[in-house]
Amino acid sequence: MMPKILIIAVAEFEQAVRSKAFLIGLLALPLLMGAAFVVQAYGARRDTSERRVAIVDHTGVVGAHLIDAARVHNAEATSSTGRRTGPHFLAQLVDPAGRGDEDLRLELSDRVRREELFAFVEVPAAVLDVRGERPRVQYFTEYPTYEPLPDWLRTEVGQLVADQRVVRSGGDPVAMRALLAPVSMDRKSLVVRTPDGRVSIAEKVDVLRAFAMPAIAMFLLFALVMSSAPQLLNSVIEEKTSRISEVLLGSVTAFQLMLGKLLGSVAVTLVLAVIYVGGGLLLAAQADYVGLIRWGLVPWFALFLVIAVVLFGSMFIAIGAACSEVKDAQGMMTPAMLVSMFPIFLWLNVAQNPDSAFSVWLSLFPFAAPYLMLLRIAIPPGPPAWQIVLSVLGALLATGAMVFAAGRILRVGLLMQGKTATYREMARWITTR
Amino acid sequence: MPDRPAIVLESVTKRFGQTTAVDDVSLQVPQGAIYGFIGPNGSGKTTALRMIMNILLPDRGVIEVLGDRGTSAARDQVGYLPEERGLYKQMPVRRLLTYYGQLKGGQRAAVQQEADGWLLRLGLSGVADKKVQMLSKGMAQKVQFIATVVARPALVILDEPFSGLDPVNRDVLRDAVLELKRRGTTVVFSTHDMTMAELLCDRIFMIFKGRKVLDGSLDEIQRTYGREEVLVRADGGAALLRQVPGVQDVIDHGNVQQVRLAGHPQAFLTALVARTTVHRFEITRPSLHDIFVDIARPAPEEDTVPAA
Repeated sequence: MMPKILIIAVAEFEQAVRSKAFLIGLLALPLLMGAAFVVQAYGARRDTSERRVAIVDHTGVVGAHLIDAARVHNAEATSSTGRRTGPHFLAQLVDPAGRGDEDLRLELSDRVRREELFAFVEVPAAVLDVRGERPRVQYFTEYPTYEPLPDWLRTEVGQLVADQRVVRSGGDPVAMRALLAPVSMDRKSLVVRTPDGRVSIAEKVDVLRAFAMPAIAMFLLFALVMSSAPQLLNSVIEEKTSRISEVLLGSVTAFQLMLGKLLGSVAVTLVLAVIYVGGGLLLAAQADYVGLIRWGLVPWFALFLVIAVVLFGSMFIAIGAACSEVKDAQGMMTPAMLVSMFPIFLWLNVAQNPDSAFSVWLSLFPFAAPYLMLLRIAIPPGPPAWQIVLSVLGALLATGAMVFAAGRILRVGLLMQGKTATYREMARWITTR
Repeated sequence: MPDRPAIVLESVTKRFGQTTAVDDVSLQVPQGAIYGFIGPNGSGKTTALRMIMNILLPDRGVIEVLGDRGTSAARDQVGYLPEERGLYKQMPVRRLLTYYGQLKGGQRAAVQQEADGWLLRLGLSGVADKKVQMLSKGMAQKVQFIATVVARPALVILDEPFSGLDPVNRDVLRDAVLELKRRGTTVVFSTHDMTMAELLCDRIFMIFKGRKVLDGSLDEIQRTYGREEVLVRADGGAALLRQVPGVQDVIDHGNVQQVRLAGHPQAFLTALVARTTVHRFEITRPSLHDIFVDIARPAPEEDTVPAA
């Protein structure tokens, strides 16, 4: 039995690795990530627009301050060669000249619509009041999602108004700012007693970095599984539609065929994993992030990778066997995709609170275990051993059941032509001998 | 066991839901024979072949293949060419043949050698490294045939091997089948082509609506189903012939008349010679085609029943 499974696995592996799709897929992940990074960095820096903002100032102080502050801001957002490095804000005061608030608003709105202005703000006089319910500053724009201008206005107006209130209450704004400065806090890891008897110096923990390693490990696992498991669906459908399945079934059993395919997929993902993980480690070493790498994670990564590929792979094989055309598969895919992707939507909840009941139960659930248990293991201090054992056992059990069910479905489904089976029919195929 | 039949079916029945695809069929395929499976579409041919391949299991009855009962132990010794061709479009021809041969338990080197021999014989050496999707339909069909025999099976099952082939390739494939026979391989093939079956088969089996209706050598079948029929050219033509005693029916072809007799042709000839001058007198046997059509006059709707 073994050699035939191996022959199939080798053929599947060769076919996958030789295809152009493999090469493209291999390069696509790093390229996409790189491209996203570059585009984002480029886009963030490239906002060098000029934003004209009109100020309707009822306080008598805010408007003038904003004009000065804009000048300072613009100077900071200009390089030594005179090129803009960020958005420039051009503030102009509007004199109501006896017009009512509503008329003025309409007129300024029209100017925004004519693109003479980007936005305008109304600063009520009462914002400076020391006590009582104070009105809010109103910002009017056609582009409610644009952040830099309102952010800048909020900061500048807020600071000036706070200073003014302090002055009105008879205080010194500079001293007050110093008094109200926020307290900073460092996050540190625990200390241990070193061999020479002293207590170690606690390392400063960078939150971003603490999140980075677990997240990278989990998303890489996800990307690897998703790059191979759904492929099995296409491969089974190809064999069905081009009637190869019948030739194959004349030589091997459906179960051998499936195990061979799964083995081939596992081999392909392991090769991809070695390339990605190896490349990642190399990059980390180059960038001096070696301290961030947790070597103990590698075996867990490999174990969960194999489990996930076999679990989700056999699920997609079963779906492929039930469908007679690729386009029929779309509908059947949705639940399978949900099952294989939902842990990813919940990863942040688990990462932020890895030992909550929610996280524990979710990471014990077989379909989520490969991703979320790996995530929990990656986040210090890691889950208790019994939880790891339980989740691995559960996942293995579910994988065994899935492989069994998929084998049964494949056996019947491979010879079915012309119609796509329902879930009810698939269930019947599993239970009939 | 040289005399043991290659295939034995004993009272085999297979149902799909309400339809009985194969109904209580028994047959024996002798070793080294070319055995023809004939029958109209949807009569159960493919189902019977799939059961012999152990792809489908019978609901009742026993199937023995190369001395092996009810398991797939003999599977590696059986080559199968399904009715619907199945080749990986993206694979180069030689690699595909090697893969299929290895799946049958063949050694890589032996399989490759065998594949090259067949590619040469069937005029496909030039496309050995081309992908399957580059091949014409006829070429692909020949590749599929090679895939069936590349592991040197003792028994080859060919489901409609000649359908869709042009006359030249038909002859090439016929010669290939005869080569298999020379090697001692047992060949079972299903076909709609009665002429091919008549020429090629040692024994013919006909299945109709799931039941066996014919089984034997062409001679035996013709004897069983033979009607006494003669072709006659005689002065007086059809009008005269109809008056001769013992004549059931006369089909007038113009220059020659086809006469169906109730009695023996010899008696008819004597009676005929006494009446007129006979220019031609030929005792004919019904063709397999006639027998097939007689048994299975397909109602129009049966043409649309898919082969199950």
